[in-house]
Amino acid sequence: MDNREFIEKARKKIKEGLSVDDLIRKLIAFSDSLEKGENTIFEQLNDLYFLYYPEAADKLKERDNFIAALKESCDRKSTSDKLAIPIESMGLDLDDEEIQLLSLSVNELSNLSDLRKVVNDRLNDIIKKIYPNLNAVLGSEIAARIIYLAGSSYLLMLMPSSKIQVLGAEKAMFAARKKKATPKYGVIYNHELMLSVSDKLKGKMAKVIAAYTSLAIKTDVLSKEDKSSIIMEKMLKDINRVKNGT
Amino acid sequence: MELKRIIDRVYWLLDRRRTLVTLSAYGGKSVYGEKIFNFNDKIYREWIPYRSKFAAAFYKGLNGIDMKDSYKVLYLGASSGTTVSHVSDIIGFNGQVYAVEIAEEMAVNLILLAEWRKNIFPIVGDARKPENYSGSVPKCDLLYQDVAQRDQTDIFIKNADLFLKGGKIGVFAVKTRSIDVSLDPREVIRNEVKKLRSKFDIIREINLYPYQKDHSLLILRKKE
Repeated sequence: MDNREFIEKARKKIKEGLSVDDLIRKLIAFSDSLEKGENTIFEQLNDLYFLYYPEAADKLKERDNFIAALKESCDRKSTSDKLAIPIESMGLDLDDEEIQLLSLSVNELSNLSDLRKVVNDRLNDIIKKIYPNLNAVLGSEIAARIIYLAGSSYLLMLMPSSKIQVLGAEKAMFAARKKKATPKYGVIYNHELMLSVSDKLKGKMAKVIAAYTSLAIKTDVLSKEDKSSIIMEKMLKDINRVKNGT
Repeated sequence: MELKRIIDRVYWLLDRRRTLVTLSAYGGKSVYGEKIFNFNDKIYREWIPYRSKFAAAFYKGLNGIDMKDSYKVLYLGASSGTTVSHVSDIIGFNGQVYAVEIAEEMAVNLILLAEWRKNIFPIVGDARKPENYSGSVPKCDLLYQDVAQRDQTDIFIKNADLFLKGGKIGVFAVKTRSIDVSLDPREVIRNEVKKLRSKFDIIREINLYPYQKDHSLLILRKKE
């Protein structure tokens, strides 16, 4: 007996089974590891730069500032001009070769950062196109992440909103099995509307957002229509109710 | 170096320490980074206990199992085909291993493996719904299951009812953590064994520590 028939069938099934959600999952994982790599490299580079020009390195502790200030050139002269600090330094004087090495490294870091932006832009485009309702409720970044955490849009659709509310807070959820209180929010915490309310109302807010997330993903998966304006209108009404405490 | 036979095509390679190997049925190509040994003009593949629960069971004292040339095996939870490749070694060209896997990305590796190991029959499907593949899978001589699901015992019983011949062996890898995290692992095993007892004789229970954490392998014989 030949297994050719089985292989053909299995191949077909895989082709049917793969979807854009898999792409989203991979892109998110890629973007996450890019960011992780960027941070590690930045820390090392900042350390290295600290040796050469500690006064400047002290002012450039933010990754994006560091890249912006040192991208073109790394030597003390141009940096001191840019940051308006004295050129005299207590750091170690380096040869041109080493300064060049620094420059090269900062450029590579900047490239990585650009690449991550491209990945994220692509991710946002996909979300906007395929999940317009979810995008309206959550914003593309959280929308992508919540699909990633759920596994796929279909699985997300099947989830009750109480589970959506704590997606991303699995660790706290497991702790709650033993003694602690259950978490109020997972990745939804990063939603921009959450910033606008006091800590006390954040739990209620998360509940509202999770409920509308659930509604939005059901609309996206089942009807595939863009009803985001209606959903948003209702959601804002509920949000105002939470804010006013009624 | 010398070889000590455990069952047909599975050996201990005795050197300074013992290594579990299977006699390769399909040449000296490594499947998942395992070592290849040439001994007396034959090719053997290392069977790594940290990668495969079945191999771990041999390291933990399993010294025989009813599994040989030309057997038909139903393998649930084939993943990327690590253990499946060794099963395919053991049953040889005339055997058939039906490997069921649900996750697409894992199944891709399985299919690529089946392209050159002609006795592997990949099925992309859910082991919970055996009726979906019951048309293409015959009665089998061995049922191996490693699915790490909460209802894995039910899955096992369902598939054994449909596909396993009476009096034949079922190998059942229990992941205690995925059945119930909060219960004591021994308690979990006891509960699962209770469910299995009406249809199977329990031959052995092997705890796979330290090769696999929180895993046990049950060797069962289906009642006639």
